[in-house]
Amino acid sequence: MDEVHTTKVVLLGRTGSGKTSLIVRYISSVFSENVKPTIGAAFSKKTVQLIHGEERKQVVLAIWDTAGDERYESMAPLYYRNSSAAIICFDLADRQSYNKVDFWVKELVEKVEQNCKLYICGTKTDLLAEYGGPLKRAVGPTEVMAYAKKLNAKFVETSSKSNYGIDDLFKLVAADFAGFTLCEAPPIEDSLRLQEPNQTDVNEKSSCCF
Amino acid sequence: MENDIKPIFEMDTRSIKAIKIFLDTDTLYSGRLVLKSIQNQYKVFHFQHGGLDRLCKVFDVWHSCVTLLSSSPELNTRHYDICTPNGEAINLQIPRRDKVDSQVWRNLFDGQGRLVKKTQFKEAVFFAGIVEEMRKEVWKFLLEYYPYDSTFEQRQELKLQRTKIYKSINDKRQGISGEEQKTFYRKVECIVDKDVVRTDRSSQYYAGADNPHVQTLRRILLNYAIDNPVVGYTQGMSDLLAPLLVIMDNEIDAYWCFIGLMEKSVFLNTPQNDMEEQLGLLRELLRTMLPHFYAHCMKFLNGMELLFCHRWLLLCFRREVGEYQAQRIWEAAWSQHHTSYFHLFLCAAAISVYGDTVIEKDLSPDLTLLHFTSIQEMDGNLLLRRAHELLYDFLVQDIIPCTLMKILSDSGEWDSPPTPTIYC
Repeated sequence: MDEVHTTKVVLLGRTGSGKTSLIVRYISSVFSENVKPTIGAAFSKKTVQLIHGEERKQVVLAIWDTAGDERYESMAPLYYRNSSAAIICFDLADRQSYNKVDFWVKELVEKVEQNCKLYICGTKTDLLAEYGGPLKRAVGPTEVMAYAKKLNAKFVETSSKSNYGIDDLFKLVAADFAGFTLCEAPPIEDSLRLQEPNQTDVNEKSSCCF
Repeated sequence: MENDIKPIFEMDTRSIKAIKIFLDTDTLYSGRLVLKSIQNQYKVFHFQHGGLDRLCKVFDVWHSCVTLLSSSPELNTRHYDICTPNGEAINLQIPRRDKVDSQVWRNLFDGQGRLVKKTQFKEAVFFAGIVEEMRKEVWKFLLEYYPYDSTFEQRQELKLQRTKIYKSINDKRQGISGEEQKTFYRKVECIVDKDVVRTDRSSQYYAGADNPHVQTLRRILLNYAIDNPVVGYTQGMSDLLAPLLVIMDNEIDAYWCFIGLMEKSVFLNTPQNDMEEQLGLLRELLRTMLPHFYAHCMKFLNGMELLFCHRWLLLCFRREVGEYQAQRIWEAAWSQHHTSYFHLFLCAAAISVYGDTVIEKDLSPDLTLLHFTSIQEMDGNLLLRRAHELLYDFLVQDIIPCTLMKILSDSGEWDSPPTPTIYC
C-alpha cells in the first residue's frame, strides 16, 4: 500500500489574481471567464500520486480558496490556519497585484505561527505578449525570483486559461510535503520550460532549487 | 375625504392567548383592555371615556371563541381565554396570506398615500411575497427609501431631493484629483472594476459585452464608496446591488435602495465584527433549534466557526439560490416580521434541509464546508418554508437562552417584547 498523507494548501493574493480559476482548473479541468469574487471560504481536495523509483506516495491536497479583499483579512486566519503550504498569487500583467504579495506573506507569517512553505505564483501567462497575449509583463522574473529567494519561496508561472503549469505546481507542493527531494523529483522549472511556447525568457529563470 | 378608518392595531385572533379587562372602580365603564399574545407579548388599550362595559358584553356572549376564565368583582377584572371553536387549545399557526399585488397594495394606504396597514403589509410580504411587477414600487418601502408614513406629495418631494443629492455625489466623485484620486483608485475603483464585470453576468440584465448596466452598477458602487468613505467598498457589495438594479432599472432609485440595504446587511462596520456577532447568535439558535447539528459541530476543534455559513450571512443566500428565489427570500427578511434576524433562521433552515449528510457521515468542518459548497443550487422556496417553520417553532418556545433575547427584541406594535422564560 502507498503511504497516504494529507496536507492543507491555502491560496492567497489580491482580488482578481486568479486564485479561484487556478483551483477550478486543477480540480475540474475547466476554465471560465468572469468567475465570481470569492466570498467566505471554499474548500476542495485532490489526491496526487508521487512515484520516484521504488518509492510511491499519495498526498491528499486539501486546497483552501480565500477572498482577495483585504476587508476580509481579519477572517482570513480562520481559513489559512494550519496550512503547510501557501500559494500566493499575482497577476503577471498587474503591478498592483504583485505589490500585494508581500502583504499576504506578512499576514501569513506574522499571524500564523508555523513554518508554512511558500510558493509565489504568477498567473495569467496567456495574457502576456511573449505568449501571444495582449498585455505587457508588469514585473520581471528576475525581480520576483530575488524576492522569492529572500523568502525561501519558490516561484512558478501558470495560466488557468491555457492550462499551463497548474498540475506541475500542485505536484511540486505535494512532492515538497512528502519529502521527495525536489531536485530528484521532476524539477518544476524544467517542466515549465518544456511547455513554454516561447523560449526567449528562459535565461531569466533560474534552475530548480532556491 | 377623511373617511378612512385607520386601524391602530391589528392581529390574528388565533394568536391571542388571553384578554384581560381591568375596570376602574369609580366609573365601571372605563379602564384598560389588555391583549396577551401566544408569545406572551402584551398590548394595552386605555379606555378613558367609557365603553368597556359594552366590550365585556360582547365577550361574554362570544362563547365560540372566548371563555370567561375568571371574574373578580372585588378587583374589577375579567379574564378571558381564547380557544378554537371546538374548544381546543390553540397553536401558533403559519398564516396564509395573499401575495402583494396591485390591489392588495392599494388597500394598504390611506387617502393621503400613507402606508397605514403596516402589520398586514409585513405579514403579506413575509409569508407570500410580492408579485414581480410590484417589486419596483414595494421594495422602496421595504428598503426605507420611502418612509411608511410619507404621503404621495412627500414622496414626490423626497424623490426630487434624492435625485439632486445623488447627482452631487456623482459630481463630487468625478471632481476628485491628485492624491485623493490615486488613493480612491487603488482602494476602491480598481477593485470595483474587477468585480462588476464578473457579477451576475449570466443574468439577462447584465449579459453580453459592453452591457451599459454593468457601468451603472459600477457608478453606484463608486458613488456609494465616495459618500460613505468609512465603509467604502467590500467585495460582495456588487452581489447585493445587482438584483436591486435589475428590479429598479433606475440608477438613482437603486442607489437609495442600496443605502437602505447596507443598513440591514452585515457589512457596515467591518465584516469581522458583525460576522462574529452573527455567528454567536447563530450558534445559540442552532443549540436551541437544531441540537443534533450543534452537538455534531461541538465534537470538532474548530466546528463552531461554521465556515460554511459565512457566505450565506454576507450575501443572504444570493449565491446559493436562483435569481428569483433570492428576491423572494430577501424581501421576506426585509419585512422584519417578528425578527430582524430572519437570515439566521434561513441559515438554520439550510442546515435543516441539507445538513443530514453532515451528521450521518460524521463530516469534519472542512468536509462540511465542501458538502455545502458542492450543492449546485438550493431550493429557495423550501428554505423559506423551513425558515418560517423554524421561526414559528422558536416563537412558541417556553424557554429560550438569554443570549437569544436580542433576536426577539423587535416588539413591533406590541407594548412589550415576547417574554418567554429566559435562562442564562
